[in-house]
Amino acid sequence: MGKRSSIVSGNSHASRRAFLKYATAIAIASGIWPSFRTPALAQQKLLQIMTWEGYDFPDAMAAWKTEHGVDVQGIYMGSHDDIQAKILGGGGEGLDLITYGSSYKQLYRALGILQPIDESKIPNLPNLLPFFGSDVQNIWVEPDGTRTGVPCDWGAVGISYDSSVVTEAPTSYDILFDSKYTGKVGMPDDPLGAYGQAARVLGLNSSRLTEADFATVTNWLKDLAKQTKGISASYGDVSSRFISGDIVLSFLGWAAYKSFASDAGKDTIETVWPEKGGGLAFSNAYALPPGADNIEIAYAWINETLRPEIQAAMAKSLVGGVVVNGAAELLDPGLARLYPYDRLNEFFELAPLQEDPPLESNEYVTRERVLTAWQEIKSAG
Amino acid sequence: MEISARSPVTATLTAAALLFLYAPLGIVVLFSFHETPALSFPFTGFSLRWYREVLASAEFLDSVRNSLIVGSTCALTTLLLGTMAAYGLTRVSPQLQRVASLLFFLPITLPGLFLGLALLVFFARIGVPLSLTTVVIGHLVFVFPYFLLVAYAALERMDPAIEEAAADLGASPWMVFWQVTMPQLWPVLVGATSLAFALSFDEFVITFFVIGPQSTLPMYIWSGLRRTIDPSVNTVSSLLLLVTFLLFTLTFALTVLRRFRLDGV
Amino acid sequence: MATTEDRSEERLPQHTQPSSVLLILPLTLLVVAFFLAPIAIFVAYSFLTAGLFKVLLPFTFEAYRAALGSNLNLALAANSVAIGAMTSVVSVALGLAIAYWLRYRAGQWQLPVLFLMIASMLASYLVRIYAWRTILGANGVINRSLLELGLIDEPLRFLLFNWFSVVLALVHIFLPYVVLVLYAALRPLNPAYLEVAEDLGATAVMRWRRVILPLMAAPVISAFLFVFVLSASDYITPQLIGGTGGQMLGVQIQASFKAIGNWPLGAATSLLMLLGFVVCYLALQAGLRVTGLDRIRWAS
Repeated sequence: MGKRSSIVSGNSHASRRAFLKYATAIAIASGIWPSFRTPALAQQKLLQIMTWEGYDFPDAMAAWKTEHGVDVQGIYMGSHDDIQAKILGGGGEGLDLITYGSSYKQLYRALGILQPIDESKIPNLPNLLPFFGSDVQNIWVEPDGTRTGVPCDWGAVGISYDSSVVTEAPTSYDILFDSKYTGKVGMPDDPLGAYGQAARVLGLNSSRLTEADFATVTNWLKDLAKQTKGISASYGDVSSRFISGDIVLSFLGWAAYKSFASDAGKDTIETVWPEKGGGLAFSNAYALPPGADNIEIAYAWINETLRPEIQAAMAKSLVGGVVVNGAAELLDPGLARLYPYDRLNEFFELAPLQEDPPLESNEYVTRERVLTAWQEIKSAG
Repeated sequence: MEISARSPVTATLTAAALLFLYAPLGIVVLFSFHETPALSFPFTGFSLRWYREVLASAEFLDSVRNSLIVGSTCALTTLLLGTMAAYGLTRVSPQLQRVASLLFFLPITLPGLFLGLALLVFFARIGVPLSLTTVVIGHLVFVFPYFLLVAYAALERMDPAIEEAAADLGASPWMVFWQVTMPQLWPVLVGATSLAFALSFDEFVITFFVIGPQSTLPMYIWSGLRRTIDPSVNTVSSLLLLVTFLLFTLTFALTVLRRFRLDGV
Repeated sequence: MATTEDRSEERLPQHTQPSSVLLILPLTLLVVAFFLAPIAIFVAYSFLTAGLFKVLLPFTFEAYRAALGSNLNLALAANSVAIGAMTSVVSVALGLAIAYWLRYRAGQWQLPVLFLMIASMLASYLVRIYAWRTILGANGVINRSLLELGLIDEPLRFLLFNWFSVVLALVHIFLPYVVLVLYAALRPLNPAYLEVAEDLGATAVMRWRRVILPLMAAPVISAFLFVFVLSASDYITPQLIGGTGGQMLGVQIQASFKAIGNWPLGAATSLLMLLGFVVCYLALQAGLRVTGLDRIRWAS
């Protein structure tokens, strides 16, 4: 090899220069150099939505977009915290719509992120299911009647398990601490959800935790973290760990895992809400951020998403729950069984919408304390 | 190359390293053909569905295009500014060299999140609207130290006597650079520019904060993490590897052909 | 460009020429405008009082006190240093051997292998980390092979979700980069030196100890430093394959900035990290100067 290479290197300068020349020519010729696309037609209206991937509903809303000549630009976040970080950093310009989860309502109200919504611009609002129309928890309507958000979907978390390993449906959260499953338990990086659910299991309420209660919940979560092989970066990551067989049980188990796993060829992932401890529901809502400059289109968008046919299509793409009357009937059987639409009020007793700890309080532990403690739980191996 | 060609230790290590680097990439390519969204075994069957899905998705293609624009602009700007700076650094006094090196090292010592947020606040204060240009700026700041390190490592070690000799023979500094320095330097610069491209192409932490209403490929990829990530991501990486390999093979083949022609003359 | 100063003993220019400064200027302006200026804002923030996602007067050292006073921060910082050090030692040691082989032994394989090294960087980071999970997981390539061979009855679960997998994934990310840096530094070194050493009867070990390592000290230190800084401040890899024992300081900074909204604390923690890295940088550079290893040039 040494001999041959010395022959090659004798001519190496010429050949290297040739290499460079060809490399450049080929790179240019093959079009790796990108061309700038002409911008969208001027009369086309642009709606910018910052949300989770999928919540701009490219399929479900395709017909509406064509009909109204609207281009939708989805700006996807990696975590819910991206929204406030970007908007408060000064990067919210041009955003017309955002979505917020139920546990971010208080924070976003305090930060001035939620603009009042004119209900008269959304004629489909009465379509909302009674639970989502009533808003007892002030997640979408302020106590003074000002609307700040319009629900778009919902879902619920309980205990998810792989029925090929955990053969009997869990009836209590104690199963997560079973030494049989040490290292095989999943938990997503959702601090407010984790405190919310842990508090429920312990018979407490995470939005009203005293110091002593806070210590109890924190210790419970630390013990649970020891049962895991690390907190998953996201709910989707928990799903991947179920599919790969790295976990067989999960705290804050999302009902949609069944569908994700089944698509991936694993039909054994189930989710239950045990009588004791139950679960938590979440709901994402559309909202107008400060500086929204296409408000009329944003209203039209929200209104359209409240039509039953659109809701059914949205729920299908998200593997989620519908929020308007007449939509559940349009769902595929599998999706219709995901949540018990015939007894929703009962279900929301078992798995209520998640609330967050107070931003400021002298009496109860605050959101900041919870989030800070969560960092310790994440490292509690 | 007259020193003994036997070098079992380093050769074995290189082979092992290639295996180590490419085993996961083999998995990446394999699962890009998976019939289900699972990214883990058992591998149940082959399908082209993810390729079809990716190539049919306007959003996906848009984000790929944005990433290509940002990546290549960033890489070429880095190549230009970085080569100038690396060349300049070898020609300034040691004191200035030390200060400048520290300055150019600093941007990698801060987490991308800090840099992204700081740039966002900065752009907002000075009234610069967010766009792909601000993304390129953000990437430049984060990418150039890598480039500089590579280019400087090569330049600093070059024997100045050769350049001096050329200069003494009357070559202008420009000629010295192109005819003496560049022929030795270019493989290193090509490598460093590829790195700059790869880093920019994959960056999403800074990107999220300094981008306007557009999306880049990594943003698209990472946003999928909330639900499940599926092989469409593998597809993009596989396609990118394929294009790179084709380009290289073609270039290499042409070079070899040309060499044979030259040798024949 | 060459002047008499250039021919001084150490072959280093003692005076700066205006044209050289002009070459450095554009990049310096970029760093000042888009790095130092934005960072200055956050340096100021780190001395302000924390509001919810905003900063308030008065000026205070509270953020620094909180950052330094947190036991968790110290534990995570120790983790970061350990993982960073392991990653950089492995990457640099392996990278040096590969760069050596590429430069002197590869023959016509040089270009293709170098290309393969660099091309591996083009696959998305996230995809590569998931690929590691596919390899190391309970149902992964390794466990399935061992089970098939009957060597184990239960999947090995210590392969994944700990500091080991973090280091593995980080080496995977940084190795090609180290190879390129060290190859770049070796490129101008004529094989004749090694031939001379060999003719003089130097064994392989002696060649490495007496010729290659001293000559490569400066670039090796640079590469080490870069990999150390980047792996120690990473906060994505630990979240995806780190488990509870593989968490690092970056995760804490992320929480301060994004979730909690305590910008002074996030800024102070980041700046303390920067300070730590700068101290490492200066210490290593000083070490090179004291030992004279930074002055070694390829003589003709």
